[in-house]
Amino acid sequence: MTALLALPMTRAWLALVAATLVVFALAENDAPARLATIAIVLIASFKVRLVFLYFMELASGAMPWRLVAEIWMLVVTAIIVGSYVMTPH
Amino acid sequence: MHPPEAITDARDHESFTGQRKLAGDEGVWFFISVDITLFAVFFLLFMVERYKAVALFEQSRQQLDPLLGALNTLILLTSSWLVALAVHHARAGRRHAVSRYLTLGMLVGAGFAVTKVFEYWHKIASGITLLTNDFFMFYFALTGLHFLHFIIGMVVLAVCLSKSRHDAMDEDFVLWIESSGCYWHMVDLLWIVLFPLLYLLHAP
Repeated sequence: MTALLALPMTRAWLALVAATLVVFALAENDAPARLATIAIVLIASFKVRLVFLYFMELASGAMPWRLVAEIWMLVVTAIIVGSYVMTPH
Repeated sequence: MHPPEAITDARDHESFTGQRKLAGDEGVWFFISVDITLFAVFFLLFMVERYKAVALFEQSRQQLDPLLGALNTLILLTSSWLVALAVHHARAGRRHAVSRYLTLGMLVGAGFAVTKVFEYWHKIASGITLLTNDFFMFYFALTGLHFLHFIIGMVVLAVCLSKSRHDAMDEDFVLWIESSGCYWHMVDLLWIVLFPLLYLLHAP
């Protein structure tokens, strides 16, 4: 059990589950919707990065794929947050 | 005289012992890069259409159940973790552990199909289809395309499971399971974006 917990993919999984629960709590509560929504997207980006680094093992720094993953995550975050902020609600 | 699967050069040795930097085949990584880029374009198109009809998108979004989306996120995350553990054990040549974690990964992953089919059935029974409006066109197209990736991933994992029972635990197998694992994790990470995009983008 201790050996399982020490593995990077197990730690990443625990963080990912915790982040998903935080996202669900943010989505369900009465926090200001605009800020809560931006936080939800940013947490999703953090989760994507964890999957790239610790499930797909890009933490080892394998180039150019690590760069592709980081750029993809940043571009997708910028697309969603940028469009969300610019949309007149 | 070396046996056929002998480690013949330094690169193969690194691959087999897991010290190589990239997990999986370069070709698979190229495919993953193209695939996720295509999805990024779809995310952009969704946001552009949302900009044009935010009231319609918000009203439609409220007809989705975020609990089902969150459940599917947890299912795919857990399945991905189990497959990552299978890859970890494959590098150490632990055949039984590989089979066990792949089987568990597929069983948990199958829960995604159950939830998704239930969700589709519920929507269609309520008269909501691809043709209802632009939001649901995106909803069915994006989740449908993702579901196709999911089915391909399950087939790839089934092939890995079969190989884990019959094939040698050599560097070829490790490359196979690493590549399959990376594809499966891509299915997971695309859902991590699709969930907030479709279910959680509130319009205050």
